[in-house]
Amino acid sequence: MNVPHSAAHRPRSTIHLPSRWICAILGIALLYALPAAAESVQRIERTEDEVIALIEQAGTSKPDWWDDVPLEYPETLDLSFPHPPPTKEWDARRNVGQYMWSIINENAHRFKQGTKFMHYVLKRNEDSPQVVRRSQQQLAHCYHDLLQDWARAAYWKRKLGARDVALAHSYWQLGNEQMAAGILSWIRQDRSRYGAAIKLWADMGQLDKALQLATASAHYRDWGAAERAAGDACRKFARYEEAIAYYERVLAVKSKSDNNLILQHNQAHARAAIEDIHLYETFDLAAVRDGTYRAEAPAYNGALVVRATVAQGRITTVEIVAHTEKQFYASLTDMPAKIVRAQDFRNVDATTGATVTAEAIKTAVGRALVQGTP
Amino acid sequence: MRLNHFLEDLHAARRVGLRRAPPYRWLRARLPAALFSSGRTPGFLRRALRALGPSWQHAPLRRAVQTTSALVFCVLFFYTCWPYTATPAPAPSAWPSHYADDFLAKEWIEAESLLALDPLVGLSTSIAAREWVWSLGWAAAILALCTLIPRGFCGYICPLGTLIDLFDWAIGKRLERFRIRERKGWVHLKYYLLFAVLIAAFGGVLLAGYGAAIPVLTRGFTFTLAPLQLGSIQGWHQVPPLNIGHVISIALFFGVLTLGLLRPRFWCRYVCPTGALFSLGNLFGRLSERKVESSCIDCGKCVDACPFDAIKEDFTTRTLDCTLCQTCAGTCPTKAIKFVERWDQTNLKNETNPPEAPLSRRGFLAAAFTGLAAAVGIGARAEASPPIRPPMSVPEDAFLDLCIRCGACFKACPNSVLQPMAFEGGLDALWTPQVVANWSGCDPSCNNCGQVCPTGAIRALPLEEKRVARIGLAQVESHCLPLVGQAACQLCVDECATAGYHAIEFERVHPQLDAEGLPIEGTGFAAPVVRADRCVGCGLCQSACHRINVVDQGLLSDSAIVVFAGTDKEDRLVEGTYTQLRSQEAAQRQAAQRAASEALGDFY
Repeated sequence: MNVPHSAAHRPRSTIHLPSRWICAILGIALLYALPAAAESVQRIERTEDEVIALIEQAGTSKPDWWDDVPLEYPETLDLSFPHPPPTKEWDARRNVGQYMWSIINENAHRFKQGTKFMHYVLKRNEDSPQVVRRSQQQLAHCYHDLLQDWARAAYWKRKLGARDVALAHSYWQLGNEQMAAGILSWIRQDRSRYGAAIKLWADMGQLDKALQLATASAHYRDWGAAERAAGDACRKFARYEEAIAYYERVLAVKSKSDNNLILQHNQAHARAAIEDIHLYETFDLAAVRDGTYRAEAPAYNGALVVRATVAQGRITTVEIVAHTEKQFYASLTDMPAKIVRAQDFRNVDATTGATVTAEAIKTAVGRALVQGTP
Repeated sequence: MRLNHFLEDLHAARRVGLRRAPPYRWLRARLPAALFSSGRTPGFLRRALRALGPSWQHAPLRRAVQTTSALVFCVLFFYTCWPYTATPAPAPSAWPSHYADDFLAKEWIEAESLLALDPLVGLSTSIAAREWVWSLGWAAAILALCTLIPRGFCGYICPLGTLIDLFDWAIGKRLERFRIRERKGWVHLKYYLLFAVLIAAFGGVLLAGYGAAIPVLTRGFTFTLAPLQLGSIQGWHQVPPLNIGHVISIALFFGVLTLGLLRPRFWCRYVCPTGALFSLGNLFGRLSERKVESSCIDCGKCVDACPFDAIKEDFTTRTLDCTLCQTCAGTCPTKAIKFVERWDQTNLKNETNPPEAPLSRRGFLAAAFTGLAAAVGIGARAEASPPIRPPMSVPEDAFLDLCIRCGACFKACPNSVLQPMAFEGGLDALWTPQVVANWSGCDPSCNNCGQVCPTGAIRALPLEEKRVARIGLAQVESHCLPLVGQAACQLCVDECATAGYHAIEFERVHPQLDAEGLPIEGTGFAAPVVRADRCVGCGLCQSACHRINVVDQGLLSDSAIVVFAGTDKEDRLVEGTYTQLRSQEAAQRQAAQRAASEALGDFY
């Protein structure tokens, strides 16, 4: 099967397999985030009263999907939701929080199911304030992180009395920047795992506030999260050189542990972002020196190697030098021709039904041509 | 009744009627005179046929029919059963159907036509499986036709016979040193073989695939020419490696051809059990025969010309072997040979045929013993891990009784998901198709295997059925990269989702916990979990893991997600539909859920 996008931004195969996949996902997320930011210009503005009315109205009524989603959960779960969990070892089929974290969070098709389940757990344990609080935290998380239902996310955050980045983000999404900024200004150091506050300042168009917060947070042991968010912010405002500088600082972070996954994630993201900037944002064909360049990218069945020739600022030939594809042959002849015709590897439509192979060809051509830029 | 259609006779007939026909005269007036016969010089057609060789000269109709039949076979085999002309639709839907659509568009006659025409295929499978097999109707039709033209199938239609003729023309007649003299009694070998095949079929074991003409040819092509076609057009990396089953089949196929060094059409005359069935068919209702009139001068040319050794020393006919090819009549200098109804006795040279070496009781006993031994010996089935059969295969016992081992499904299968078993499933499963998921997964847009199966071992159901027919169940192995916490990987999940099954989901394992025992966001690994209610066992997950993690990256020694077949893991229906089965299951699940959620009220 050919997966749209999945191979598009896999980095060089010298990178370990896991990071390739994370890069792919984060790269795609970023690409989607960019147009989303552009759209936000036309978003609806609401007054504080309107926002609060909206939140109260949404929070006390059932979501539109409610009746279509059956209440489903493993029979083995302990619905009294104790904390800490009674079993010492991780057991996602016994402990509610671990079930939510391991199974619901991981599968988009279970987001609504998990949310309905948490409503059910809350209802069942109305008499226990601790369990109510834990369930409300889960509901806030479900509506904010999983369903992006900002009004209900804000409703549960307000119930909890929390004034955090997620609530600020919800206010901003609901159309009131002042309410968001009111919370964000209290944050002196971004201690979130991936620089959520820095990202929100940047989303709200305040790059200097974002960078200021990043500088203030950089001393905190966050394994490059602040620099990473700062790099993303700069990239969003087309300040590519600064972005690359921030990303390179992420790559320079050292950890004593080989298993520092957070650092590994941040570095994989930084590496992919640097390549994407070179390949997609700052690439200028006119600047490529004449010559023949060779590069590879992972395709459907393994590495696909291309050779591209540039003469006087024009792509003259693109050849597939080696591949192990078993199907979708059309793209092997179609894509090189399209790239030469368009004189570009970025805005070329993938061959129908052969997206992975086609994207691999585009990426490999991009990697080849970048070798010839100063 | 005259069935004479050898060239001399056709020519004589034309002299009378055809030459006066307006179209003939119209052509004659406009085309160069050299094309037409005039007095002593023969016309262009006859000269061309003469140049092609004596059999073309004497029996052009037979050669023309034979060539057409062989071409049809080759077109069906190399073109219709070539899946790689399929291209996905411009706007890919959730369920693409390009392989199935492409196959149907190219199947202007049924791809399995010639296999269905082999009467031994229908007969032996329906005896072994004890059920009506649709190709039995075709078998009856072709046997009925052969009462008019005895063993006509062998001389006119059988593409294996044509290939053997070609071999004789290209090699056999140039390598005379292996030729041997016929021994009396050899002509009976094929009856003993047929008898053994039928006895084994009664014992529930299908031997016909080893010897029946069209399966032997189809399998021979599938294991020799098909890989050449695949390799040269699509790339050699697409050709699956050979196993011992391939080697045996290829050796048998070349054995069939090299038998032609002993005598022309040695296989057809002495060995082929399908041929024996035709010969037997003639016993009961033969309408026409080759006759020799008293004008015969004993020159013996007909004996030399006969490609089937169907002429005895006294020039009368070995009627059970005669294909009515009429080459002998064309070579006869006195036109003493005619093809007329069986009871026409006028002007015959010899009225009675001298007796032949009789079928021996010992021979039949030996054959019966062989058949029974095969039924018992092969029937003892190996009970190792069951192979994954093609989608919509009938239950395993019936499958082994119905699968004729022709190999057509291998040829029609895109990316060679289906490959022949060797001896790992016992002798009984030799050459039967199994899904080799390490090589490739079963494409959701394809149901070609069922379309080409001549016996219904794989049912020819629509694509909607195939998509929900379970052939196995994927199982995540304990060495899965994210499961052991070694690396993130979601190849199988992505593959399954893109195919449209969404049968693998994630479960995050090995989280790092903070001081409070809460998991740290971003830590741990998302490991795959198979949803048994959605997995159909297509093997796309396994092939993705194998080709990337095992072959390309070398991270694993075996795929970490493996499809297993077996009870509860696959659905093998003889009748009824898979969509019905699935909707029944869904209705049961929904009823259970409704009961649970109704107690809770509207919104909580």
